[in-house]
Amino acid sequence: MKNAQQEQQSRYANTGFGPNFSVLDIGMPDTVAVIEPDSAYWALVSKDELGEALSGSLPVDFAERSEDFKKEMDALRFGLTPSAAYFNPTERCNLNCGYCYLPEEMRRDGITMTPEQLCDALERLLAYFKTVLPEGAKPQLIFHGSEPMVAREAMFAGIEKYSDRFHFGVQTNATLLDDEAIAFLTSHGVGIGLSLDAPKAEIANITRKNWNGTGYFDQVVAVIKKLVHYPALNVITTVTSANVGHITEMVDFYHELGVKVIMLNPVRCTRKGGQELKPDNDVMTENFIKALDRTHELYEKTGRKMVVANFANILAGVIAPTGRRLMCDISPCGGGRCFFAVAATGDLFPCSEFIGFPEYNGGNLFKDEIPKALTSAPFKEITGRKAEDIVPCANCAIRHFCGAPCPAEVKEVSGTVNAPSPFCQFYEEQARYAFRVIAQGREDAYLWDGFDDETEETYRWA
Amino acid sequence: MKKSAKKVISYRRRCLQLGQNTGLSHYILLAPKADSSK
Repeated sequence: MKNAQQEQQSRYANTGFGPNFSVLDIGMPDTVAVIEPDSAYWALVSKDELGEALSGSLPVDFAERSEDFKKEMDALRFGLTPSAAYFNPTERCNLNCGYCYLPEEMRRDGITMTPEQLCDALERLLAYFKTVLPEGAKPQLIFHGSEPMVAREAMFAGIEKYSDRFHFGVQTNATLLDDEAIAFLTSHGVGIGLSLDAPKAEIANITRKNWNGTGYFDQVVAVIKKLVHYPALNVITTVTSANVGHITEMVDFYHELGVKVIMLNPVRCTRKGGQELKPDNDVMTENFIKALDRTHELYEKTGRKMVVANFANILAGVIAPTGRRLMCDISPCGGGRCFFAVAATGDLFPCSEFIGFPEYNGGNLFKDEIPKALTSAPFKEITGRKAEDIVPCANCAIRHFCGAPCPAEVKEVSGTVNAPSPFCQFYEEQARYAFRVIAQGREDAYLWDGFDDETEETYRWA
Repeated sequence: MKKSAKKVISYRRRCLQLGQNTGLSHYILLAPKADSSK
């Protein structure tokens, strides 16, 4: 005899044992999204078939797979171990960008690792990653900052010695990348991320400038031109109130240069400078959507795709929850569980965003065991941060497509990590845009190359 | 059970290498297949 749940679970959505389906307007005249938030299940349904979808074959179809979907989400959210580290080889930076998340005194007067210290640190990290990664899997090590090229000698020594044991990347402001450095990094297959905030100097130099107020627009563009055919290049634009009205021009500019992967990241409000430069949500959303539309127009017109990776990651998270590459738009976020950050002192933080906050120091690479740091109170505060514990995220249909990023800025803005993103409305609209992309069958135009090869289909309504 | 709703799009994919090299933060994206430059 079937029990009550077996008998009734699939008859109707939203009553009894049936699934809780949220119906989401996605800005299309004929189509809505039906979402089961816990499992990140979705279906795009014609409005004239919505009744059928809520009391017909859709709940039945979902019920047959819901346990698998939920297990997959649990594995993604709670079952991963770190496979990457962000590594600040120096506290110093030659620039003084208005929105930096690191304290000014650290960037002006901080310490820089020696080659010996850096290689010692990499050896310790490697020993840890060997204990958690499958045999043969290389951890990722991203040199970050401050400006990692300030520690050029140490960083290059580490890359030279360990290039066969880590996937290396470097996020740099490009101002110290001379031809010799470019040749070294590209010959070692190092992923390179550059930063540029506008298609013209007078805007780009407002936020990205040195301690004397001088910008480096021309120099950064020159480096982008040198690296544009390098497959492991991406360029980040931090979107602020100063440049938000120019990001569609930015898309044109990057596309004209031949850049293939960009990010249009809303400024993190982790420090006062970032908070003061935050664009309004409606302005951010309107301009971001125009920029995404522009990438599609350019793709149609030229056949040349340019991926906006932060949006592509939202889209990937909808299509393949475990196929996302970036772990900000899922809760718990990746900080402290998929990756962690190492400061130039060796201090360990859940993410680089926390390096300026001593209360989030979970230990020291040179003194403590990494697993101990990963289970320290400050790490657990971040790795335990779930959308289900946040108002209004707990009842939000897209909570597993957004993740309420980022705990560092949320803590600064709201005084607690259990609060929604300052860019909540922006994330809502990105999810709606992602569903429109799917409804229009345009996924390939927005996802990075190789996405299909990295993933496999496990379900399709047919 | 016969699927009566015709105009529905729903599908799902999964990562083939979950946990091996996934999981980066918002401001970094190593372009796919960085090693192809070698």
